[in-house]
Formats: sequence, C-alpha cells, structure tokens
Amino acid sequence: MHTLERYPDSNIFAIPILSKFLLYAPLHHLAALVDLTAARRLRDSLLAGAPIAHEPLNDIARLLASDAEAERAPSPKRGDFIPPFLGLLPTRGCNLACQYCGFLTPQESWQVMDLELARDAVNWYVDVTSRAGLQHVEIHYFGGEPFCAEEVVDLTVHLARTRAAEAGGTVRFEVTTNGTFSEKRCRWAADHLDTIVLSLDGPADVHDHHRPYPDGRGSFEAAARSARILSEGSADLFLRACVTSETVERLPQIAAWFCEHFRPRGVCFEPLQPSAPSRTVQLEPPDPWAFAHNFIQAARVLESHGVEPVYAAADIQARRVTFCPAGQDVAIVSPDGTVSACYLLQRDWEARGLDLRLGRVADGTVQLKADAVASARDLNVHNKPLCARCFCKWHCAGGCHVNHTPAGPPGDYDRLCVQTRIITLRNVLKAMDQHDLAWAWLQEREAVARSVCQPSDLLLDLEETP
Amino acid sequence: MNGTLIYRCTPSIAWVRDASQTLAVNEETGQSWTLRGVEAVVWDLLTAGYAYHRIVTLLALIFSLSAAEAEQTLASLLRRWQETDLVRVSEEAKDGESDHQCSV
Repeated sequence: MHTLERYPDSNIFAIPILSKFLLYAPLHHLAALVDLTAARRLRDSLLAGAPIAHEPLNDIARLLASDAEAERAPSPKRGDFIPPFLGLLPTRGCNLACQYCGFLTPQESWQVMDLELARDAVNWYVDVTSRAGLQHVEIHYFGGEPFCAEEVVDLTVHLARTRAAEAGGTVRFEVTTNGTFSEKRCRWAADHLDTIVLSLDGPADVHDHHRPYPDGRGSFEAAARSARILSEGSADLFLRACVTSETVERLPQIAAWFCEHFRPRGVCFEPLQPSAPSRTVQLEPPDPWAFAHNFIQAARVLESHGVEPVYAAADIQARRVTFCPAGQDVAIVSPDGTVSACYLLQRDWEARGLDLRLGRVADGTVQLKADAVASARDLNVHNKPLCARCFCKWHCAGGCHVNHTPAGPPGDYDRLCVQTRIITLRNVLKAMDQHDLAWAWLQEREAVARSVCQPSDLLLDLEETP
Repeated sequence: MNGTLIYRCTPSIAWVRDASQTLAVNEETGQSWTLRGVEAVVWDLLTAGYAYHRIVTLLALIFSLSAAEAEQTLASLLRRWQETDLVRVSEEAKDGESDHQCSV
C-alpha cells in the first residue's frame, strides 16, 4: 500500500462517480473525468515518473507531476499576529429563546461590552492592521444578538470607519443577527453594514416553531420584515436557515419560498447542531444523506434565481488549513474583555479539552499570550488524521474544532463528513458543467455511497480502493 | 430651563448615507447639506434617537475628545443646524432635572 509517509505531498485524488472517476487535484486546479484504466495509467505514471503514450493523458500526468504547476499546500499561520478580521461580541444576551440555541443566557446575566473596552479593541485592531500595511479590514459582530447592545455597534462602526479613514483604508462590517430589531435600525444596518447574515428558518410555521420570543410568541413577522427591508438595501443579505430532521425534506420548497419573498445574495442551510435545549424539545439534526440530497435540490432552485447556495464547508474555491476563525489569527472579543480564537462559549471549548483564550483587552490595548496564539495555530487540518486522505481537506479543513472532533483514522467519516463530501462532489461536477452526470449520480444511493465511503481518495491508493 | 430640550430632524428633511458621507435635502426648499466626519456621525446618532449626553459620550470615544470638547462640538453643531433649519428644537415640560435629549 502506498502510504502518506511515502507521498507526503500527495494532493491528487480519484473518486468514483458512477462508471467514471473524478480526478481532482485542487492545488493543481485540475478536475477531469476519466475511466478506471486511465486513472490507473496516471497513477502508474506518477509513481514511475514515466510518460504515458497517450497525449491527453500525458498532458494531465505532466501537469500533476509538476510542482511548478501547483499551488503550495496551505500552511498554518506563522509570524506576527495580524487578524484577518476582528470579531466583536457586543453581548451574549439575546431577545429570542430559540428552541435549539446552545448560547442561551439568562437575561439577568446579560453582560454588555463596556464602551471603553470596545474602543480599545478597535483601536488595537486598526493599529495592528495599519502597521502591517492592510488597507481593507473587517469587523464581524456575533452574539447573542449584537443589536441588543446597539450602542456598542454604533460606537465601533463609527470609530473603526474614522480610524481606518485616517490610515487611508476602509472597513467592511458583517453582522450575524436574528433580524428582530426596529425598522429604523434595520434601515441603518442596510446603509452602514456590508454583509448581514439573517437567521430565518423558513416560512412562519417553521420559523416560529424554532425561534420564539421568551414569552412564546413567534419572531417570524419581525425577521421577515427585516429580510424584506434588507432585500432593498445595498448590504449583501444572506439568509441562514437551521435545518432539522423535521424540515430537511422541505429544503427545496423553503429555497423557492425565500426566492419568491426576498432578494438575498445567498442562502445558507446549516444542519442543527445538537445542544441541551434542542435535545429537551426533541429537535434532531437531519440525516446527512437526506440533508445533502435536499441541499443539492435546494441549490438548484436557488441557482435558477441567481441566488448563491451556501454550505461553507463545501466551498471549492477555498484553500485553507482551518475552517473557522480558530487558527486564522482572528481575535474575538467577548463582553468581559477576553480575546479568544472562537466565538463559541468557553464551556463548549473546555468540554473538548480546548483553551481558546488568546489574551485580554487590558490597559487600553489587547494583550496576547504567545503560547496561546501558537496553540490556536496548531488547530489545523495538518493535525487531523481523519482528513489526511480526503479530497475535501483543503476546502472544509476538518470543520469546526469544537463541534466536529472525530478522532478516527483516515476515512472514518462521520455525518458531517458524509454531507460535506456529497455536496463538495456535486460542486466540483457543477464547476465542470457536468450537471446531468451529477444529477444521475445523486439519484443512485449506492453510487453515492461508493463515492463517499471510500477510505482513501488518494489516486496513489487507487488500486486498494474497492 | 426646567424641561427637556428635544432636537428633532426637520420634518421635510430626507437623507441618504453611505460609508463616507450623508446627504440631507430639505424637500420643501431644495436646500441640501453634505455631512462628513463628525457631522455625519452626529447626524447618525441623532437620527438613531440617542440622548444628548450619550452622543457626547460616543463622540468623545470616537474622536478622542474630552467630555467638555465633545459637548462643545455637539452644542455648536446643533446650534448651526438649528439656524439652517436642519433640526428644530422644542422644550418639553418634564418633572425633575433638566436635560438635553435628541430625538427624531
């Protein structure tokens, strides 16, 4: 068997698609459909370093054998800590009581970020990025619900814009919100922010069931009104819908409904992340096969309306070593001044044995711990054995470091891997304009299973692949 | 003064804003204003409904001003806007201590 130790740089994959093989080399920017004989000849040519007496195949072999033709494999961050974006959590509090939300905080313990602390964090970020010569910087707001602490949002938007302009740069602002703010605030967001990720799980029956106010009233009316207003604004609107076992079969209809009623730039369907509250009300994540199948059908609906379907882990344009802020040197500032690598709750990291605190906002600046930064940078796909032979590894990079932590060997795929591999394959075939093949493949569960469940995708392991 | 001063955007004023400026137009007279920098920030906070003292606090933090400087900046701006009928001020009777409040 050809081992990764013998071929540590192997980034050339072969995945069965019905009677063909998808030859996929993302770092070489190559995707091709070949038959088994051609795949074996390519493998043998690469192993022997010998040409193939068949010109089109030999062209592929030459390209794959050439380091000069390939991107360098993504590598973890090194050197100075320069955040690609600053994450601000104005508050952990929220005005909704979503049935599945693991962030729920009792109202009496809501902490709102101190304005001086917010100022210090923004000033530090603009200074660091300015010294590094970055012209364009980003601030992302997470929660809780950021607009439950709108003074922090107002301050930091104006401060960052003012400071960035002084340095000759610009700032992009992105917010993840439940959309239940006032109409005036909604119009403000449409004017001032660049990207708005609005949680809307579907029509009223779905949304109100999932996302009530604490008194039990549904929040659909407010969220849908915001979605309508934001549809008319200049900010990019992304609708984000949480998908459960109850709603997964409705994804294509929900996608169509979104397109009929709003004008989002994209729609993101995310499978439910189980939490204590979701278990209490017996909301379950969708079956991964059903999710992938229905996501792809929904994607076709969205694409037919010019709307981008988003399943971030299957972004084939991405080349990365980490899926999320952790490991990218993102600095996320909590209301209490903790600076961390992740916006999830500290108790959730700790449950996985992780400490993702990077430092604190103190004495007018951000004080980072070098060892904590180094530990966060170690959270990357190079250190995930499961991903070593997977064709998705540079796209999904192993997913969330907190919520996706399978410890198995290469190929021991779990539910997240299954849906990610199916959707990624579809995205590659779509990029090749192989729409009919993708659809035919998707209709044959056994064929999809052959593609998704093979333990190694490496071309060099082809002979051992059943 | 025993009441609360309420600064309100003149009803016939419409405005549009982007990342760098706000353009305000009096739809009755055609007079227009281009607001940038501190003026745009104050207009934004004023129309968001912040109270006078909160605008002072936010201005001080955004532009690294002392509270007195921020208050002076705001007072001067509101006076000028009042003179050009960009905002109108009224006094509302209120029990207790007097205050300035901006609202729209």
